[in-house]
Amino acid sequence: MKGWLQRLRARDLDRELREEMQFHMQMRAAEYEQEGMSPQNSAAAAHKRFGSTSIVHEDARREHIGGAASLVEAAGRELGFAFRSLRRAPAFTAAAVLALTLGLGGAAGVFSVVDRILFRGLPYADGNRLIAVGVRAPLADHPFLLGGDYAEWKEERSALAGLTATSEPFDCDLTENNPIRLSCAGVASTFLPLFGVEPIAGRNFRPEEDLPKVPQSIILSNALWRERYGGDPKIAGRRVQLNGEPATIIGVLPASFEFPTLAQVDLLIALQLNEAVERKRQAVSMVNAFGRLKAGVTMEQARAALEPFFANFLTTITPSFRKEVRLETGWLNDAMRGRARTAGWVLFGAVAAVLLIAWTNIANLSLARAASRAHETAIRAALGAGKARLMMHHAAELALVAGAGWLGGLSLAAVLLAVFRKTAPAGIVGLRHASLDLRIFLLSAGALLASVLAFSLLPTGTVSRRMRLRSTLVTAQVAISVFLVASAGLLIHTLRELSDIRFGVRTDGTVTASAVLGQQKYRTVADRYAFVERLESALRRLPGVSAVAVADELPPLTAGIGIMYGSIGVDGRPPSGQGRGGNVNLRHITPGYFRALGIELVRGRPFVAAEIDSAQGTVILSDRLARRLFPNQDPIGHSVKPVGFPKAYTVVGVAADVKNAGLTAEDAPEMYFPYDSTRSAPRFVSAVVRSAAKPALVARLMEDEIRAIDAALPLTVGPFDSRIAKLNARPRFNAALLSMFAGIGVLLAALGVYGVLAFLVTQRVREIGVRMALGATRGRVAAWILSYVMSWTVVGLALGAAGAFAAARQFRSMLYGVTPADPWTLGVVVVLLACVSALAAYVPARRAATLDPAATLRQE
Amino acid sequence: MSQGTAQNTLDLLILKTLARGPNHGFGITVHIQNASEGLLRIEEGSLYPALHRLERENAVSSEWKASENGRRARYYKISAAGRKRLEEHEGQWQSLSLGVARVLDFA
Repeated sequence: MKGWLQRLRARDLDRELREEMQFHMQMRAAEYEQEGMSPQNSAAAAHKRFGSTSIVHEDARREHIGGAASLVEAAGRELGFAFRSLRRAPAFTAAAVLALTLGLGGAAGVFSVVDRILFRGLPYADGNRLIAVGVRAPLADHPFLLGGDYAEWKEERSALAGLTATSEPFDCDLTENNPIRLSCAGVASTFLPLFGVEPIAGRNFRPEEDLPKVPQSIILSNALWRERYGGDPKIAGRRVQLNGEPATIIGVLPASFEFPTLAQVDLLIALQLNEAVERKRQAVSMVNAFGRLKAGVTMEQARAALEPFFANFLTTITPSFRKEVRLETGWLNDAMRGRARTAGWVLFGAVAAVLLIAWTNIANLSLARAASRAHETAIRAALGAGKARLMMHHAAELALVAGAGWLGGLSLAAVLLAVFRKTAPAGIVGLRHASLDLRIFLLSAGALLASVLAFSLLPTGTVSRRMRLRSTLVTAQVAISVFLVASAGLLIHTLRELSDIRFGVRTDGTVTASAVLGQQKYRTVADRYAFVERLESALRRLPGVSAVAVADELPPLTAGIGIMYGSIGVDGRPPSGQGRGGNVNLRHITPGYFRALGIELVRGRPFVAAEIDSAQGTVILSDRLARRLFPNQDPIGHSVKPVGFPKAYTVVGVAADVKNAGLTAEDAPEMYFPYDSTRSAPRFVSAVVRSAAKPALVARLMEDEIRAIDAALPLTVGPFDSRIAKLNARPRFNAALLSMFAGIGVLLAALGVYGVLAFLVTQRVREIGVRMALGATRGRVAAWILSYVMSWTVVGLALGAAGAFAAARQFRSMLYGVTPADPWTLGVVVVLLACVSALAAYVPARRAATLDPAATLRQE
Repeated sequence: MSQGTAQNTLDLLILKTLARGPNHGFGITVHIQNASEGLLRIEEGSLYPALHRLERENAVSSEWKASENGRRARYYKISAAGRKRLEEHEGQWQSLSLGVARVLDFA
């Protein structure tokens, strides 16, 4: 209540002071008018004689209330003064706070993500000693070890403190109560200890649980534990059904755990590698291997220690294959962050750039403010306000602006972070744990404090020196904006190229469902084949269906089964060279496959129902494979026999090439086989339905049909397009982030250009008047202003384009279908920014051109 | 010291002007300028802070009244305390100026 009254009285005082001064100036104006001045000029002269109303107001106000009592009170009063004087300059205040909010908000939001990618350690104890070990071969897109080799290599003890292995994550199903499709990864019992990860409840795998064919043990991810089991602290020991087989939960991972490939993993199970069999090469599993270097051992020494093992590995493979295999060792840190690290640096650069632009803007604005107050400042100085006092006043204003910008920026950052988490693709290190933590609070506050100090020292020197400084700042802004927009442009171009990729598949009106057939229920090939048959006939009954097919996996993914090109024998001749020539995909399909996916058959015919399960083997080749195996020849009727297959297969058709190795990779050659219950029926099953009905409806009906066959089978159902959207997720995320920065940057740069020019026109009103009085036309005045802008814009454009080119070379790996020096992108960006500067210059230039020369000359 | 003297001088001029009768800020500047035959010109930047300080020190009081041209203006009126202060200041000033004059004449 008392505060209210006080504020009311303060408002009264302010109003009275204003009225008192107003009266004074009116009286003075009347006096001038009597002396013969025009009413307009007399008012201006009276105002001029009075001096700065804001200072008189403030000083009178201070005297009215009483002198300063304490330092706190003085600071409070100074801030109050700053607040009121900012309120009288709403344009400056709004522009400065906005610049800070955008700059700081964007920067803090992205930094909180990038910080995890670039600057934090791995979520493993002493993670900098961890390495990834493997052989790189055309068989797989990442380095791996074969099970037998892992068993041998882990005996290396001179350089490595230990070597452990994991599988790639795979789909698995928890089939109790409400079945759920999850992502599982097998890990050796040595995995968690080597990585220094302690389960937060329960325990690690015991060696005896990591033996082949013993009942599985499960360690839950923290998220799964909380979501599905309500964070039950006594979860260890609970029995569950995994893929239809009994398993026991033995522990829970800490929330900070990340799988070394950054893949989403819901639960860890024991790897259960049959080492005895693997050593004899009777079974061949592929594992990812990770080692920990002993203290003091360098990467080179570790590599040298592994060379003998690698040499031994080479003796176990076909000689012709050896040339295509090499040993790969690298820091886990690098392997994990890989592409995300490049993206992280790009974003970090963008953050820095936006902050720089925001800062130059504020520097610029505060210079303009200092200049527009030069008169006021002079009076205050004359009245005895010391230089320190003036600087303090300036600093108080900046501190208020900075404080407002800080609050605004952090709120914006919180919003951005929430958006990132929602939209970001999987596999960005630490994104789940990213937050606006103390570090970011302090960092941003520190940066602001430094800038407040720097800028409160800025506005000294002569007007022309200030002007030069401001032009330089704008040049810098334009340059940084070009750099930002060009980088964003390249990523957008990449994204467009990616979405323009022709899959060779018609995805409209197609809905897919996929599942993994569990070990227990679908033990034999015949079980699985029976499921495929029932599935296809059930789906055929759906409304509006024009085609139905089942396959082990749908493009653009591979079924994960491949053979080497060199191991295919043609027309009874032996294979050309085993283990060479790159990978050939194998896919098992039902006859409707090509129709359902709209894949064109270049030659021959699709499979017919009779060919399923028939002794007479038939095969369809992809166009690329057909051209390679049968150059200048019609392959129809010829036969092929891959090494290890029981029989030869007659080619009945050639299908158009399809994206089958991910989005950006080359199409791999491909062989299509009909399902063959005598040979194989893979556990992975994907059904595809082409229908005229609405995809959402079709998806629901498909789910119902499959549930009717097996109610406990976890499913992934959705339109085909959503599969592709997922593959685009990362480039889209990068492009969106960078575009946001570019947008903010351009906006701030435009503000900068506008601010400087508007100021220039105000400063040079007299000069413009003289020029016009001497005969300069309006057009020439406008041209003079524009040429002035362009002189520093062009420098900025050139610098920015050069910077963008240099930067884009660094993130070449993020680009697709566009070169870093893409003239189209750079050209558009340069033109765009030139237009933005011209637009920002337009208003002040117009104002200059429409000035009345007589009036401007009379003004002084 | 110097600022104190300047402030005292300004107070003296204001109080002396108001001793003739209540007046508003503008009227005070006009009177001082006229009475000094143009030698003294009061800066508004010092006048209003001084008036508000004098009011806080109860040397003057103020009220809003219609002015000679019919507009509302703030009129300042000297108080009893103000008159006492005026007397003191006047005496001090007389002796100060006499002293200064003698020193200047002495050379």
